[in-house]
Amino acid sequence: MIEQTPKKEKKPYQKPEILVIDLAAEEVMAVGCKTPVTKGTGSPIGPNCMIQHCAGNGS
Amino acid sequence: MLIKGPQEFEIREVNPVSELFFTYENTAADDQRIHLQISCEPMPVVEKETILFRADPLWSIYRDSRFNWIVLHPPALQKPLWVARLDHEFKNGVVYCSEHLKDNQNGRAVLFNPVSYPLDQILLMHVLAKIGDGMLIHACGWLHQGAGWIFAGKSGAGKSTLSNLIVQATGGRFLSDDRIIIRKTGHEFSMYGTPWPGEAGYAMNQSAPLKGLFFLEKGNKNKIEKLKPADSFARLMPVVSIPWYDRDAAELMVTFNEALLGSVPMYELTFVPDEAIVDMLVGFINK
Repeated sequence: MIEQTPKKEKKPYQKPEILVIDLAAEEVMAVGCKTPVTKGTGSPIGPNCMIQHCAGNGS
Repeated sequence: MLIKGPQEFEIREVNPVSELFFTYENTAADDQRIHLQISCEPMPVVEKETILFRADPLWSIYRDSRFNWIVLHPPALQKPLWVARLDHEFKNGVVYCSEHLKDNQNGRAVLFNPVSYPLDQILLMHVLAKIGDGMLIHACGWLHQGAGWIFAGKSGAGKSTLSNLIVQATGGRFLSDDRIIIRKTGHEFSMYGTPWPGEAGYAMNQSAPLKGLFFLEKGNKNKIEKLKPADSFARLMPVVSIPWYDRDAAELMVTFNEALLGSVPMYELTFVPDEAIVDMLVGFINK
């Protein structure tokens, strides 16, 4: 005897959608400053900063 | 990374945290080793038309038939601070230093180590992507009862804030409050600390098996919501370091992320920055 399985209802067709993801280089591409900042001065410590006068902090 | 410097200079570290990650034993597998020579020879001129990617305003990467070239050129300087020449596999290279990295202190010739941020992070991103078994994520990583929990988010999402709240409430430890490495060994994923801390200053040279990943959202109430893989993927991509301009490496990284999504549960964590979120998290993780 062959068991009959109930037919599954077909799902309605859904058009594929493109999901656009914004990638921000300044977040993940080693652009922001990572050199400790001297408290009170807002500027990087001493002459050994790799990227003096950089654009901004990268947390 | 195996780094050799010129004999006539005393090499000084720029990042005080780096030394926590130094070892004098050569334990890395061959395919994970980078040999770097620091040179004070004149800097070579890089052909600008070979550019692959410009991470404005700081560094750029170029590729010609023989080498990859990474150039750090802060806007304030007329010439690059350093130029790194590497083979296409990022396994061997020379870092040419400008005069700005040299100093004379108490009669001693000093050279500030150029293999520091951002070069160390750029190289790590490429090597992990070439091997295809790891990546860097913009996240803090909590070591809790031997397990690793990652909290990812862009700048301002609350990584350092949450790290401090957890440390204050539980005495917990963070491998980093800003950059974590995720690696795959067999079918298991682990998290590793890095020498690039955020505002909270946490950096530990340790690893732990990865149990879960939360994407941080600041809100007006605390909530944890399990994410479907597609939603996790959309949240993951903006916070991971992938060299998209290198097609082969990018494909390996997409495969890596698919495996990660299939193995590690991911959640959206909306939180109010006070101690109540710590109780909620501890209860959730311990259940």
